[in-house]
Amino acid sequence: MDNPRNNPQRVQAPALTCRNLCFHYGEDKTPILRDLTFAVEEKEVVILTGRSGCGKSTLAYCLAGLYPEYAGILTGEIRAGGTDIATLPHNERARRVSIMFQNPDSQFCMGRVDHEILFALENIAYEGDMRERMRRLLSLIDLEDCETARLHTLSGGTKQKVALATALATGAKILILDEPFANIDPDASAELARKLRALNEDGLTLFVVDHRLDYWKPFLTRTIELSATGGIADAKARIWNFEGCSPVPPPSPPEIAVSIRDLSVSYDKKTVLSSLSMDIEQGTLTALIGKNGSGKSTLLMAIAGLLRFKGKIDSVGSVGLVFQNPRYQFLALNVREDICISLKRVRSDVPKEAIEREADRLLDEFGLLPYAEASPYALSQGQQRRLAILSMLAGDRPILLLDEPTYAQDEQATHFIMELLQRRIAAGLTAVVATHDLKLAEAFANRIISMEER
Amino acid sequence: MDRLNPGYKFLTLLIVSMTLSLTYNIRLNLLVFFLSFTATLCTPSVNKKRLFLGLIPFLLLAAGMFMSGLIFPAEGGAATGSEGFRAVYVDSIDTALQLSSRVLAFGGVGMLFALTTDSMDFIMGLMQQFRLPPKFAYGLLAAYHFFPVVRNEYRVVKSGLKVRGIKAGPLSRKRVFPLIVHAFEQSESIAMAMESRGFCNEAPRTVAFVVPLRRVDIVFLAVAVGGVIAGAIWL
Amino acid sequence: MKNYSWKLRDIILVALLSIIFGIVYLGAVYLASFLTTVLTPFGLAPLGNEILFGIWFMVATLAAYILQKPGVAIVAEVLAALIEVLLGNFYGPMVIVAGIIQGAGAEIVFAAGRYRKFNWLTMLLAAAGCCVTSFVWGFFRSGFGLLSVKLLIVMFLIRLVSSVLFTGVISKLIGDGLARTGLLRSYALGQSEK
Repeated sequence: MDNPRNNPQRVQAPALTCRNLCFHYGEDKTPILRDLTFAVEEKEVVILTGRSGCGKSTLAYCLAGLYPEYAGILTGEIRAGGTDIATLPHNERARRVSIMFQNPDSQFCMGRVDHEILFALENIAYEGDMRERMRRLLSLIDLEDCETARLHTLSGGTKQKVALATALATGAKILILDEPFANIDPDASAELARKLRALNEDGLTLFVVDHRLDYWKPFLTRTIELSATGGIADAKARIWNFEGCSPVPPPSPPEIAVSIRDLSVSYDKKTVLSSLSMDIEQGTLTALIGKNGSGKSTLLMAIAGLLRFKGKIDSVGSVGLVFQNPRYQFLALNVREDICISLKRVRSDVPKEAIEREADRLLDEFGLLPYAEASPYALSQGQQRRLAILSMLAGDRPILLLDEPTYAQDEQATHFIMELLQRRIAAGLTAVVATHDLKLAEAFANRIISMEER
Repeated sequence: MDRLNPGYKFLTLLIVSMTLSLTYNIRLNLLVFFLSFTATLCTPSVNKKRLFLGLIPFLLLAAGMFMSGLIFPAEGGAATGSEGFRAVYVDSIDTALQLSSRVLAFGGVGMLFALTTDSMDFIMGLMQQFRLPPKFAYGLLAAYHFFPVVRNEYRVVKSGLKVRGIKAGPLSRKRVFPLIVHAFEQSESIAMAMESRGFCNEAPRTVAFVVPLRRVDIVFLAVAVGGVIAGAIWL
Repeated sequence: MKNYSWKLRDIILVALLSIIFGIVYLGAVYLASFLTTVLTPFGLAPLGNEILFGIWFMVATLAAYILQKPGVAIVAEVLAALIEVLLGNFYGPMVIVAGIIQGAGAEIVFAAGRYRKFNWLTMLLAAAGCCVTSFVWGFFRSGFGLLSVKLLIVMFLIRLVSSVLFTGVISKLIGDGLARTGLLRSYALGQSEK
């Protein structure tokens, strides 16, 4: 299969090769990937970086053989171990290449851990003792205790580990990973990275799409960068940071914006928060840090008045909340209209033209004016987040709560959002941010509150 | 009951229900309800609380149909009114009982199936004994397992809108639309995940979840269908 | 050039849509059952159920509108019915038959337009089609033949209004809204909008 003319000195084909790969989403769309040619050798750990929206995930999906079947038009060739993957049926392809996705929630089809792995074994028509093999795979990721656990009851980190075991069940030697840590907390990420490292030492080839290199740094082979024009180049591994960023100085004398007394919240008979008391000062940024399940989101929901609680919460003005997934909060099918709805609610006496002018001014400030006519759902994750924040601010909210505002965002997008917030905080906004990014909290927060898991 | 082949159990109960819908036999309806209810109650794995809670809507519905049949019977019944008030009364009671006992019979049969059948076994059975293509079987299971996620999203959207100052009722398009948008993304991503785990509709696959078909399943089918037809004729 | 076979993605999509409508129905059904209970003493209980009846058919017209190929309305209703059975619907086996019959009502209308016309008229007619076939089915299933014609006419009219509103109007509006999001690029509806 290998063509000796192109690789005179090589006996064995590289794990993955990409030759003259071009990809675009439709005839009328600009190409996302332009003439990419590169190879990944066996046992390498290659990290692909690049700005959001440059097509990193697109390339990952192409390499996994999912595109062009699901979308777009592809020319050029992708070979796994010397075989053109476009010619392979799914089950044969899965024996060579598998992929792990960003969102731990939407990559399973069965209800239980063991069933999910058995499903993958069925797919490749595994002839041996399937249950025995399933247990071996589980022990590989230290999940022997979770064999019969229901998937939807597991944490994001555990789900990603199950996804890893399922991806390996097909016997794939190459694993593509699309931001596998984006949705899970730091401890779980570190553990998953350790497992991946051990698997790599045993011979697994990893091709990783990620814009944060923290967890990969100790064992990556090289980093490549995809440019906005669709080309690829070697890049230096750089860990991003918030150098030069500092909290906005709080106004003096301090005033209380939110006061919480003896707050207790329970869900399904489980206590999530108990007798919590604190004050949040006006014109500051407070960061809530802690693991998933420590009650960060619950506290935000309580302050926003979205759930039942015991105790007392007083706030000086109306409270806005931007969800971790901003998509649940859009009201209109058009970006400008979504802002106008918020503006109209607080300024009912202002004429329509003035409202629209104001909306465009705000959209411009948030870098969204070019998308004013677009549907909110067609925006990128970073743009959706900015729109959700703007929709809240346009409704005159002196207090803004944000749940993981930098989740699944790259460095630029994170800085953009934080700069916008800081400008508003300097003008008097009170912000509370729940995050599991300690670095972010240290760089921007006037006060960090660590929430303990119960 | 929970050990029967779910696909054949389904077929059996379907034929029983179809037979009932072609007949108007109060005694048969009540007998079917009673037998289904007893069989469900005697199956050890059945959640008794769900059984009784599940009965409530049927009793309400049966009561509703009873009253409708009593007050608004077909004109044929009312025409006998010339023979006096009593006749009309007996006739519409009969109609009322017909309608309400039928609701109970269907409810009993449905409950028997729902409470004694494991969802996954049912789909696997349809695939193994009734040639349901694997893509439908596993596609349905994938979506079914998303039920808790979608239900949660429905609540999240409600609070998402509330915090923007919008109150949306349970039927509001604003509340449903984000869920549907998400369904598009999720269905694509689940399908991609399944195929990258080697799922292939046409390819031969080994079977990890065997749903056996035994002689007792055929016997159950024969006895139940024979019984209800016999009942329809002689009861 | 149309591809008539079902892709895995489409199957999951339709099943998820039926779960969504199932949840919406559950969210609203308390209202309906309250109504049903109140109406029971007057013999008008069936009217309470009729108000939300159209939600049951929404998946048929919406799926057909998005995928625009033969058989979608019927298959979508059967998938929805199977999902109902999986979720433990106590109406059990009969919902499958009901699904086929309701789906057929919409299917006939789309077939008459040769699966090319998906405008307001076809959507509303398809909604009415579901209503008619499901009502005919009611004669077998629930013994409507035993009820007075007057009550049946009122029931039918309420069901028709509910069908036209949910199955016709709302499904079409949702479909058009979806087309505007740009998410439907690889679906028939997304392509026809261009």
